[in-house]
Amino acid sequence: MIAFLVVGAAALAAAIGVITARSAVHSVLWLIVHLCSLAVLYMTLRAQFLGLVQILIYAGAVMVLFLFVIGLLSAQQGGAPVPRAQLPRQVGFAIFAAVVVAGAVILAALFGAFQAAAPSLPAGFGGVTAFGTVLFSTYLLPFEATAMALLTAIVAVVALGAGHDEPARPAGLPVREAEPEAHASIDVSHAEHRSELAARGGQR
Amino acid sequence: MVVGLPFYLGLSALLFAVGVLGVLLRRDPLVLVMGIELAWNAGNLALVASARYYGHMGGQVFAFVVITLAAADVAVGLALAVLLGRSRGTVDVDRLRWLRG
Repeated sequence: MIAFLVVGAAALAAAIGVITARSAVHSVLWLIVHLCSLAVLYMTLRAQFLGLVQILIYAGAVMVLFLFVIGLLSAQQGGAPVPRAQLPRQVGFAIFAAVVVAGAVILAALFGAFQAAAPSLPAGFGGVTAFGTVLFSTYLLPFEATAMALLTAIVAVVALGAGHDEPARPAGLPVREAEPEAHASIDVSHAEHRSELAARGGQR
Repeated sequence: MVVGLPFYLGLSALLFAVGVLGVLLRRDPLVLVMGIELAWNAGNLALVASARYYGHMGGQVFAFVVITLAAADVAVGLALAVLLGRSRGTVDVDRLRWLRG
């Protein structure tokens, strides 16, 4: 009970920190705290393997991806801090949606829609052996569908990052700054060429 | 007092509500993707708690699938954010009016 209260409060506070932090980097750090506290909750729920996966993949790899993209974007924008957005007009709808979502589950819990007593579980529940046995036998089709979804995501990211008008340029290079100068130089050379032609025609 | 399933589901609902608030209130596309992540993880907590209290491994396997799909979602969302920042130079999703038909 104490573990649930402490870790759950930490998860909730970190989640609120994610959406209220001014800087995106601070949001990512709060999100790491949130994901790690959720991993602790998973381990208290007899999901040891899933807790480790949560820390390794989510709090490790995905958050590194977030920080990398933040570094890329802020480097391109000159590191200017994002101004704090004033509360937009969606705030009423947001609070309404939050109250509806939270209230539905709390009402269902009050009316006893869920199983309250924890059953005794077999030994090894949530371990790697039990997890792998179920994943590769009963849930083999969802597992392979996940592989297809990952392949789709890879193709989508490559198609997004490759660009459409400039073929075969390395990703991440700031090409947009170079383009107007190139166009301008082309235009200037055209103009010079035309003036040269006009001068020659005038001489003739 | 024993921690029952409704406690976990209530915490999950609160976390989901915080994620929805983040998606609706913030304008930075990166923080928007993080709000979606909060919502994914709230759903995952409900799945894992249900797997514990119903004694079935299916919830954990589905939470694993959700983690994988969330990683793919982050990859696509961040690629879109990089593309927006590179081509338009804006970080305000409310100003992206050119997407409407």
